[in-house]
Amino acid sequence: MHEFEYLRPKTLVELRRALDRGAVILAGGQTLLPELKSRSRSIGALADAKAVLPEGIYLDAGRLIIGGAATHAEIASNDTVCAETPALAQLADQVGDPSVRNRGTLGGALASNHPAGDWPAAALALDAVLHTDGGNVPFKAIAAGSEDLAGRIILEVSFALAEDCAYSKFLHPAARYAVVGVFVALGSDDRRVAVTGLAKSGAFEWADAGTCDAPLSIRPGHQAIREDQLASEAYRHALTRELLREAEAMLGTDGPRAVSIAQGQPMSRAISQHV
Amino acid sequence: MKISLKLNGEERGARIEPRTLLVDLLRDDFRLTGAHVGCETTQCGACTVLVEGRAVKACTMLAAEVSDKRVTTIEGVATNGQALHPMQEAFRTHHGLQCGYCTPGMVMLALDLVRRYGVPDEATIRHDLKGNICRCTGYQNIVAAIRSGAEAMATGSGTE
Repeated sequence: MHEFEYLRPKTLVELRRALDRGAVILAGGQTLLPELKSRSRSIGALADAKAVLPEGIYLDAGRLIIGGAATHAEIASNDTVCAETPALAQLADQVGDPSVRNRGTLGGALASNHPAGDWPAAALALDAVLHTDGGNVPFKAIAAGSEDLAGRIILEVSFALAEDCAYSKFLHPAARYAVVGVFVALGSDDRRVAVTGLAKSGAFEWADAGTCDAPLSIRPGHQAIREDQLASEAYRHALTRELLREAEAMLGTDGPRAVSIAQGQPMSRAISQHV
Repeated sequence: MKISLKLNGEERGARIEPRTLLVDLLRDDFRLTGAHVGCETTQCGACTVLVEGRAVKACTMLAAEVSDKRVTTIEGVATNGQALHPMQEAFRTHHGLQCGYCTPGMVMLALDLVRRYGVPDEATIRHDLKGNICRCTGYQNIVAAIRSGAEAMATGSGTE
């Protein structure tokens, strides 16, 4: 790690001041610290914001509000999330591993918007809005690249309450990110599908997902499809179709609402065996 | 910068560079070398310790972040004159290790599992072991050890 100055603001006002002077927010650090350690990123100052950011979880005006500093572990075990949107609790419980979930935060996951992150898919399908100190920003604007979060503080994130929703991901065996992940949300008269891991630019809403049996032509606008040593473009496309099927199969059942499918595991079996 | 923390029940202080990782503070400043540096990339879990009772990977947390916090390492789990904590004893009984490099991290993660679930079932243990990698044994005996250690703690032979 390169050297940096470490700041510990005691209030949001002090945090704001630190950011205005160029500091970078440290929340859970599970994305940022690896970047700093590998020296793929260097910064002048770090503002440790965990203590001043909201972490509460509650319902307000028909939406689920989660504090930016809520950890994946806190979300996974929160009664309100489990009751209202079990898919989010179960998604949170399948991010990384328990130690990462004890540190990593929702705000951090959405701010870093990793192209294979789980939360960006959920945020798109559930019409998430980021409440920042500089006003509200729909997550879809971040995903589309029309707005960015530079210099803003994510205070809370609000999610639409779907009639039902589910998430299925094919697990990267080492990094534990999604190779591809598909989040499906049913509203009273619409159905939203968001896909992570497929496009190089990150999660996108698959607007013409149609039904599972429709011909597959996933072209997220002009975005390029990811391709690496783990999965070719064609393989990722095929995964996307299968994962949509898996996610839809969970809707309306008494079973789980989020599954991680590992390499070599037959898909439908993964669902029946999941805890 | 100066930090102070409650480390294995004792008030301790250190003067550190802000970029110091928690695992380096523990190993280099306090000479607690039970937390191992395996991958240093948040994957293997050999550096797992408890901060405020919750498992974290000490290679992916700054030492500065534990200022005024409670930190427990493998050196601090056996208390009240025990030679071994019941979870350590269970790893010994079930032969839940071979070379032992991953073991401190496994034990610390197991204590977080007990905190959350009491006596977790096998599927839960396997789900939560995803971030702790053992390259010698396979996981059969580790899973058995965690289950047995959790039972021992539940029946009161445990401490925390």
